[in-house]
Amino acid sequence: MKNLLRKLVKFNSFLNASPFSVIHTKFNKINYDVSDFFIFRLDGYETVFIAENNLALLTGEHIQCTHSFNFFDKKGIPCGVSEVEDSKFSFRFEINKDITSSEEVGSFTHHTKYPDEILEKYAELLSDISFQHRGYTGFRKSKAFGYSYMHGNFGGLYFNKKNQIKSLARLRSKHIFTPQLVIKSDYSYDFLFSNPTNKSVIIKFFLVKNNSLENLEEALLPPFATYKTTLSNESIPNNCNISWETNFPIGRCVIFEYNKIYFDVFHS
Amino acid sequence: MSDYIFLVNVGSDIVNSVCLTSLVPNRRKSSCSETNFKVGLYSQKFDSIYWEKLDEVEFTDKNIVLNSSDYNLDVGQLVVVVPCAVDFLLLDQYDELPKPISRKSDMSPVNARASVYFYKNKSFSSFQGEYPYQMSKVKGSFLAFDSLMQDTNKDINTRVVFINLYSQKLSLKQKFHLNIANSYSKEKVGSIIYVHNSAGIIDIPVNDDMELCIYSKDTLGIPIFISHNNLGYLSVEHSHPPSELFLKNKSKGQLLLKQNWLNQLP
Repeated sequence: MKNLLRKLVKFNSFLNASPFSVIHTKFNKINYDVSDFFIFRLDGYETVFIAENNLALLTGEHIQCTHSFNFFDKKGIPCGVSEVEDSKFSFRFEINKDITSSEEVGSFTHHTKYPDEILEKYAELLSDISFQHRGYTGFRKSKAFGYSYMHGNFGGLYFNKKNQIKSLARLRSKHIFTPQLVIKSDYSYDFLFSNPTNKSVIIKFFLVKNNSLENLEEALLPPFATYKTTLSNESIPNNCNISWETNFPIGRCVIFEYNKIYFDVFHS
Repeated sequence: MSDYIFLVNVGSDIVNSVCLTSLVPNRRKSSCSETNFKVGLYSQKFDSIYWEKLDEVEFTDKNIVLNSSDYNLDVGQLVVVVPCAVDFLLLDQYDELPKPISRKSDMSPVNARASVYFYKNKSFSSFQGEYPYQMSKVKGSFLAFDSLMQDTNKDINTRVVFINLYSQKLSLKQKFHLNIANSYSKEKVGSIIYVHNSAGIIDIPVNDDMELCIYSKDTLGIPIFISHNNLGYLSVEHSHPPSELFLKNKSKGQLLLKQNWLNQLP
């Protein structure tokens, strides 16, 4: 009995640490092409995405493919689809308001499709593996500057045979996430979260100052929604930390740190 | 799972800084919120197989900030930051680096990272980075693509800093090659020499039409892409390893990909 209990506790800990569906990833054959959930922002920033052609990278040869991008607004409602044909190892995709139906902030996925004759040619190679798209998103404020890039960090989104969006990502018990980031009082910070699951999730933010916690705010993210919160330099003490509580096993977000014309972007 | 952190002198007046907190990066709500640890800083000279201690730093509050400019490093010299227990006696010299402690307080998935910043005057850029202990025990090979250097702005210079760390005992210091090749034709277009436990630094030629790859048949490592110009632009990011292109059978996918490329590259 004790052994059974111990095993159940261990399984519960394992389950709570799994960001993706255990059934799908461990027991089902995942043959879908899955994508991270990437963020775009056109509110004073330009966004570019480096889309990788996974089969071309695997084989070491240029291969014709269709890069497919699906956009979601802040509320998680689909707001645009774009498809581009290319054969190179990676494709540089500039995101603008025509593509996002004038939405300034939201999220998107990237998938690739290959012609039937290509899939037949590489059927044996592809029988054992499936692709995921992690890509690189670049942001810039001014054309005089280059883009600041970061790679994808969480998602597991795919479209099923009925072309419905599905997610391997799962919500678990409450986790506290703390980036290795010291908040500086002369900088401001934007934190952008996206919800790659088909369930709503609550995020609670708090500042960690010495040995005390200060609650900042609480937000509800509907499925596939994006949420932005700002810590401005008037409201924060120097040399503190920020944490958030969510039901994501890995509660990562995208952080913009800025001061006058200078800014940096990274995932937590 | 446990991880080292690194500091490096990348040249061009760019300062590397790392920030670690004692707060656990990811945990269940009910788990302990802090890890009690200190860090030892070790470096190998380019011609030595021994790690010399440069510093030992304890937390005075919740954060530690370390700067490459504080340690009189040669360009390409690597400093390894070793998280360890507060009561662990750090020796002045090692031939094999101590294993870093885990900074996790439960099974929550996260790497024990640091904020890795690069500064040039007032401009700055960062990523959350680490060097996994498991990776530091393998010699391996390395391949990355040019996704992070595709900027058409000719004023922007891109430098790749290849962090190579082998924590186990070395019998001699070998020389290796870090190469750049045309991804389409597989012809080599550039090469530099690096040694174990250093940073190989290579500037990327600006060329709009050519897709590039960077590789080493000798060791694995982490590539950091630093792009900068004289107007105050600085961007730093690391590319993800080829295994991240695959969901099912990551290791088989990476093996096939590396075979397909490295067999063709000179």
